[in-house]
Amino acid sequence: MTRLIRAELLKVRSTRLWLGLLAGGLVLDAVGVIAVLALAGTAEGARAQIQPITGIEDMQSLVWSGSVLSIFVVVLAATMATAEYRYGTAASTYLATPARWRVLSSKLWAAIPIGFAFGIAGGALPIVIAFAWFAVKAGAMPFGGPVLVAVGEVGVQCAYAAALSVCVGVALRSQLVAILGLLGWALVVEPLAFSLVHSLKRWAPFAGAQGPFGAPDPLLFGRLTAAGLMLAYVATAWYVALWLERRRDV
Amino acid sequence: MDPNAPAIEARGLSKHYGPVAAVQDLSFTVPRGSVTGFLGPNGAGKTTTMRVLLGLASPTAGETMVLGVPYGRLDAPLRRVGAALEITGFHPGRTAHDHLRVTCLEGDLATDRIDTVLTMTGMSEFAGAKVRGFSFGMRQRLALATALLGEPQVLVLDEPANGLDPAGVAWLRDFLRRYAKDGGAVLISSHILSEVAEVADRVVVIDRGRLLTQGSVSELTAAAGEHVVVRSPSAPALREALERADAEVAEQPDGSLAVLGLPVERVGEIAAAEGIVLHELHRQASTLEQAFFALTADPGGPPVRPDVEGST
Repeated sequence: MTRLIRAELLKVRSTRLWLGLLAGGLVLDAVGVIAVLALAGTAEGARAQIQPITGIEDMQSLVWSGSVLSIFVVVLAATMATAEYRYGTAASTYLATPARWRVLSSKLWAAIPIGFAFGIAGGALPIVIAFAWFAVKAGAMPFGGPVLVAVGEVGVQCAYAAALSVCVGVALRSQLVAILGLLGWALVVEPLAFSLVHSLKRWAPFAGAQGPFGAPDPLLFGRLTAAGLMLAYVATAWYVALWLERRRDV
Repeated sequence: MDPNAPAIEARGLSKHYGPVAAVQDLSFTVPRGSVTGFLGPNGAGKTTTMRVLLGLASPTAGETMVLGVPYGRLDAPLRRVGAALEITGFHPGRTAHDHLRVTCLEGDLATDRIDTVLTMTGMSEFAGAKVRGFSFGMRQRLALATALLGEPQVLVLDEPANGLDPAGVAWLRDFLRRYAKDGGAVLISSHILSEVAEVADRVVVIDRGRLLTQGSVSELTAAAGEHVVVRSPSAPALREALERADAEVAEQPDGSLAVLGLPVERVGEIAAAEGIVLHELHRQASTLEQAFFALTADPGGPPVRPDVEGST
């Protein structure tokens, strides 16, 4: 299994998509962080309900904004699965490893660390920018263990998004359908659904499961339950993807 | 694995796509140490058969064996079977070398074979180039390089000469001959029948998913019989005279006439009786192409051309 995971990681590394998505995600992350830092403490910031960064909790919120990387992770993870069909490399993959569960498992285990790394980068960038910002402003950046934990939480969010997306990609096969479907679900369907029925939010595969690993929200489950929900969603998606993949021709 | 089992065996293989039967009750074998041509008109079911054989599609009925076991149960399949299929693709943003590295990792193969297969297929200088810039022929060479990575005992090649330049075709022909001589088995589908005739020992001919025949090339061409080749400066008049004698006459690309249904002596007598000068007159055994047409021609439809892309 290790060499199959290495093969999947090499497939990602040997094209430039990951680099473009990481760069795009970090730019978006940076723009958001700089905007918050620039507006915090100003009249415009107050109107936009942006609090000045004065305490650990404010820094945590800044770090959690790095979860914007999860959008880019969704695209990358879905592409890890669907590119095999878009470019016809699935045949080579299954010729080398006829056991489809092994291929799917290796994709899953490769997607998780990639997503985690994206999340860590996305969570760490706000700290770097804030550090530079406070240095220029001759202020002291609030920092402590909870801020680092928040970075890890963004990593967990992105790892989960990667795991779920790679399974959905395998199940759908079509790159366009998978990416649009996942983004549409996460960015449109879920927010729309729980704006209508608040109690649905805690069950939502993206906001609900990931949510407890971000800003506190009374509508969501606790972290342990959310972690269980994440595992259940990934396990279900993996099983459905495998069930479909075993029944379909390449 | 059974060491005495044929390299490839299909038993009662059927593959249906909804109401369409792509392959029907197909049985054939590919012995070890041979090159077997897999022939059939477009849509005959060749590629579908190969996909089922390699575990990429599941059969509706029947079974296929490679070295005595289903492909999915082969231990280290890339060391046993190398395949280059039409459906196999490459990521355009990946270099040839990286594509082969990925395959090595997936197939548990040593990466030191990469340079060897790139050299064998004439792709060394393009190792670091991205596939998106490759011509069809270069992709075909890369597909062959991929198939050869594991030094397999069996090769399954779907139209491998497509897009290759003459030097590439000659290399492929020589390589396959040497490979079979060394004990390897090759199943090769191609619509370039002259190429198959030059390299294959045996052929399996299918049409509409069903087996038409299998055997050695010489058996197939012998079964198709022989014809008379006659060349004359008065070809139209000669043709008319031969057709009056109930012969089937076809004009060859070089201007000579191929005559079926009359012995060579009778053709000469008719020409003499008509006072027609002949420049050439001899018997000729049927070629693989003629045998193929004889087997696959549809009397109710236009002749099937084997030189058109898009076989299934």
